[in-house]
Amino acid sequence: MPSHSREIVRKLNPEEEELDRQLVELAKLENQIGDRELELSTLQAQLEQFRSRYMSVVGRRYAELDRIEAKIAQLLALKNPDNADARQQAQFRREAAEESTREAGCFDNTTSNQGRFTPTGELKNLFRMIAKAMHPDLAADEADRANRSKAMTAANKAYREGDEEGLRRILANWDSSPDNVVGNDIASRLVRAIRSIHRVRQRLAAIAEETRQLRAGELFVLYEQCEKSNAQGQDLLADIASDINDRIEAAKNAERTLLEN
Amino acid sequence: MDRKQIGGDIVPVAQPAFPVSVRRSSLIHRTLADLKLKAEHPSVVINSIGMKLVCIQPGMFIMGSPADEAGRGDDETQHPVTISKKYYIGATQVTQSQWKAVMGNNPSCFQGDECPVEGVSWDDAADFCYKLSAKEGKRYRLPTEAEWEYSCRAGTGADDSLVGKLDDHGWSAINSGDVRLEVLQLDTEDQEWLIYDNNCRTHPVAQKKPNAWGLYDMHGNVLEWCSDWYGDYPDTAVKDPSGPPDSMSVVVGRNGFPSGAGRVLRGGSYQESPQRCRTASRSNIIYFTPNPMDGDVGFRVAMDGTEYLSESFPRAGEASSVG
Repeated sequence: MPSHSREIVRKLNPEEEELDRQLVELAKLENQIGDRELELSTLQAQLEQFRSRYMSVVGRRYAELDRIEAKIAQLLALKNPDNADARQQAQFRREAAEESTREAGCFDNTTSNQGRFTPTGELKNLFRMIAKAMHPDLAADEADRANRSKAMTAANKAYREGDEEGLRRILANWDSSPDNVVGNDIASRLVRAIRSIHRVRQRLAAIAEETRQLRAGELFVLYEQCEKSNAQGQDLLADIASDINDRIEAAKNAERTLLEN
Repeated sequence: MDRKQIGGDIVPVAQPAFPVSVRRSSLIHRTLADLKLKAEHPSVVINSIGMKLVCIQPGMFIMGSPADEAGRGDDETQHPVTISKKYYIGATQVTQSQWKAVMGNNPSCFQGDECPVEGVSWDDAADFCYKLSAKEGKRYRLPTEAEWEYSCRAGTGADDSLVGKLDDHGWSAINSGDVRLEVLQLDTEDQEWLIYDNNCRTHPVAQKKPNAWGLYDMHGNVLEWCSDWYGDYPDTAVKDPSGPPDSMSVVVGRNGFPSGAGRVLRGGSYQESPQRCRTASRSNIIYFTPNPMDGDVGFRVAMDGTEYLSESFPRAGEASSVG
């Protein structure tokens, strides 16, 4: 008689089958959220870098122009003390100059001279893995969420700074963290999986909306124009700065003439 | 990477995990507006008769001359002027070929297609603008006196008409004839004969260096009509001035001329001294005739910045000829 080996397969109960299905779905969504967070973070980093460069090259020149024009308006007001329009104009110019100075000054000087944000493939990969593993929306509870948020903040910073080692360290620490190992019964796991799926989907929708808003914003419009001009070997920001320099020179001449007379 | 098992209750998402990087920026808004304007109003355009026009940006300048400027007239009181809107102005004086293309005749004493048209009255110049406007569907006009001086100063405040610099930038009685004359010679009663004998004349446009904004012959060659009536300058700051109203006013200005009785001429000409070709120098022609003209008087055209749209501006050769 031939011997027949028989595998003993335990049949999954309906709850376990459902849990498996939900976990597969969650795994797919985790991959997606890793990609989307990476894209969003890359876009944010590119725009922040661009904003810094813009403020350094163009913004500060607008602020200088506004300051000179404010001085001219003030001189005119002083020369014509009975002229209410001149006084009003001087105040308006002064406020405009203060605002543009404030705005042009509100950028991080440490990043202003860096080039464009161009992350390496490895950097992107590490960030994607971190976002997938530590995403706050996959948290089990508030404490876990806080823990994940902290890790993601550090990961975001390292990503924007191009710090691959930093990302590796965050990933290693997370893998070995005892806080991340939790066990539970099937029913609870199923409920959590379903809720996690819901939250991740919400986050995906939020990322899509945030990305849409970023792309609809004026910063992105200007960024794109500059990227196009870069592709054609031109430097749009430098061109704009040159135009403003001409206006600064003209304003300085007018101010000098007023001071001399 | 392995997925971790999760446990505990889950709270709904309240905040995005990452900071939103976009804040509204008035400077970026302003930059985009400047870029849009620049795209819609290129710095230089060529119209259907080959006339080059330069776009002039708004700004502020001090019009008139300081009290110690050599050769200064009493009517050059300094005052701040704001030009609030961009405009186009001809890179050169209107040439005879351009005049003929629009008007079909040539009134000039010194013939030459590339020489400036002269012998035209203010009304003739206005008629040219009217016909060119009809031809192209754009409103051409003469520059205001403030636009003219703002264009001439070109943001530098410097005066290219100062003796020594004028040779580089313009044609005055000193350098427009067969031999070079000296300023002292021009200060005599025989100046008129001297200029005639020396064959002083107009020269083809754009032979000298342009100013910082790319405008040629802002000093000399031919005097240029402005749209304003001649009158005294104000003492205080003004915005987009366009001269006194049209009237044979009883108000007599600082140099003895009545206000509003004649149109302004600027820039000096081939038969005038360098001092008359200064940036701030003002002339008018009052012969008490309705339509005075002279052999050293021409013009250049201007156009509001809003008139130009890149899509609709006719290209050379595309526009129909004037009927």
